[in-house]
Amino acid sequence: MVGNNLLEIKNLHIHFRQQNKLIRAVEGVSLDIGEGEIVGLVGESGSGKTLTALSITRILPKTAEIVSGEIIFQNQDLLRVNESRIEAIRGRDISYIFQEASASLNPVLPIGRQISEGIMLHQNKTKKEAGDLALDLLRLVRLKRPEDIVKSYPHQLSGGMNQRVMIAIALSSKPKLLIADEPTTALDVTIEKEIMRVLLELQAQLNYSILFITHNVALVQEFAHRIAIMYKGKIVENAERETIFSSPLHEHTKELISAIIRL
Amino acid sequence: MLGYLLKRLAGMIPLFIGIITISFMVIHLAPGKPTTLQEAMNPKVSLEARERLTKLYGLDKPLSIQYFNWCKKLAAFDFGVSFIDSRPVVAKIAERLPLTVAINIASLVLILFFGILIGLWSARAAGSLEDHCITVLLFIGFAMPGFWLGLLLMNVFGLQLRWLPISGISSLDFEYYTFWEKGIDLARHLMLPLFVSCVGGLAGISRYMRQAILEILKQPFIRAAKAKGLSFDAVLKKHALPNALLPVVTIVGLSIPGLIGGSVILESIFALPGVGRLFYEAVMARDYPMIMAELVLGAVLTLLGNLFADIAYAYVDPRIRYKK
Repeated sequence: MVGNNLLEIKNLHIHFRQQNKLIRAVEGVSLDIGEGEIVGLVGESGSGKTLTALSITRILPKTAEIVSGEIIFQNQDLLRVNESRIEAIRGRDISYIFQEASASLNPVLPIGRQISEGIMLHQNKTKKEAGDLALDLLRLVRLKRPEDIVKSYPHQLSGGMNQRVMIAIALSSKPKLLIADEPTTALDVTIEKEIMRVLLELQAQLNYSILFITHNVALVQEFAHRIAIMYKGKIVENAERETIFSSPLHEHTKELISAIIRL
Repeated sequence: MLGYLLKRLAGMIPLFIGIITISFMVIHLAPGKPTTLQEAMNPKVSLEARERLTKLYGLDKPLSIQYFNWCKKLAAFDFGVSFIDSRPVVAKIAERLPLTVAINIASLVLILFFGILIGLWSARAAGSLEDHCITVLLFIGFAMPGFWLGLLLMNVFGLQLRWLPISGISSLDFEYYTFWEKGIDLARHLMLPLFVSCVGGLAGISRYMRQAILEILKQPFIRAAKAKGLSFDAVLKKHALPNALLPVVTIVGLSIPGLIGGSVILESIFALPGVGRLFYEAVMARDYPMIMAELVLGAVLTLLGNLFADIAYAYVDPRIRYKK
């Protein structure tokens, strides 16, 4: 069910300032994501894949600077719209889940409040309605006893449960694009499987696009429609999943694939 | 919880004994005797009278015996009578306490309120000219000695502009004022002392808040909160601030002894009849029972303040609250 392009990243350049040294972290990345498409963005750490993902809604760290490029979403360049416009898109049309789920939740606020916060912000709901929606969302990501979970704090839940909460938050306003930045890297393999199942089943149900960022090409092998390989700030290969695995062109792609077989 | 409390209280006993023992020794090591004042004022005091005085105060006995006797009375909550006017020490402290407590609570509330606000403001503007200006002003306030600032303000507002009274707690005809006039009169008298006591404390708490907020802004959950679509100000208020406020509870707990102890310097400059000035007078006159009573009070409050800080912190931080 891959439709028209939802998001187009065009010739993106990001520079990083570190101790007065300029690092060209992203150098001319172009990437399209179709409606309902799952794109795997694969690369080793430091290849610029996370910066690319964060730049989409401009939540880069202060030291990083978008030098040039365009990110087209719903006929507007996200890099050039004003701050309140991008705030309305963040968490509503484009949402994120991150690597460290437990650290991505505020340690001193109850889970329920952290879920309903986004709902109240984007959907003009009362506290009560948002609270009910939060419970529904927790059921949606298949967490048991949601009534207890909304009252608990992140440290009381496991890493896998926290990641489900993050997914619930990310899906709360029915986004068109979910950006998943290494969402299972910090989890056990068995938990990883469960999280992936939730993520993909809900994708089939709600038909959002996914930009799935990982260093592990084996993980996206099973579900990504398309895979882009990133290496030293550039996308070196971008093709259908089957093509990538049957006839990899770039040296680095071959390395990544042979790394799976060695395992 | 109760077990924890009892354990903590039991652990304080040796600490308390240590504090009061050392205090006792140090106070008696200081040169001068309580009798000096009475003798010096009257050159005709005979040797006999001098000995009688010394004996009356129990100062003729060896220090170890004096200490033992004092401890024995302390165990029965008997703090003795003041050497200066023979009134019970407890009564003298009790009549000075309300003013000191009122001033210190007011200044703590003001410091917390403005300190947190300024800290938040400068963290929000971190690195900008605004932030640097705030920092410089705060450090000037911090570096300025309280007594000097106090005298300066008294000179400007009290002597030259004649807007505010320079000392004491109320005007001479206070008794004849109506209720509202009394309130205004008190406020006018307390304005300068409160200002001086806040200026120094403001730097600490606001710098602390600024640092805490900047540290928290680096946490992953801040990025996640931003990714929800919250504005920077909302992230600051709803996500960074609650985290940064947790340690403030500890600061409040640790400032409890200061609430009662009062500021010796401040109360002396502005001639405020508080506990701080009482302590100053007692030290000057080597009024041992008075000094020791105030030190015991300070020690107890410090220990309880620490305990309160720990418990309150555990209560406000869910990560500790729910740990079994």
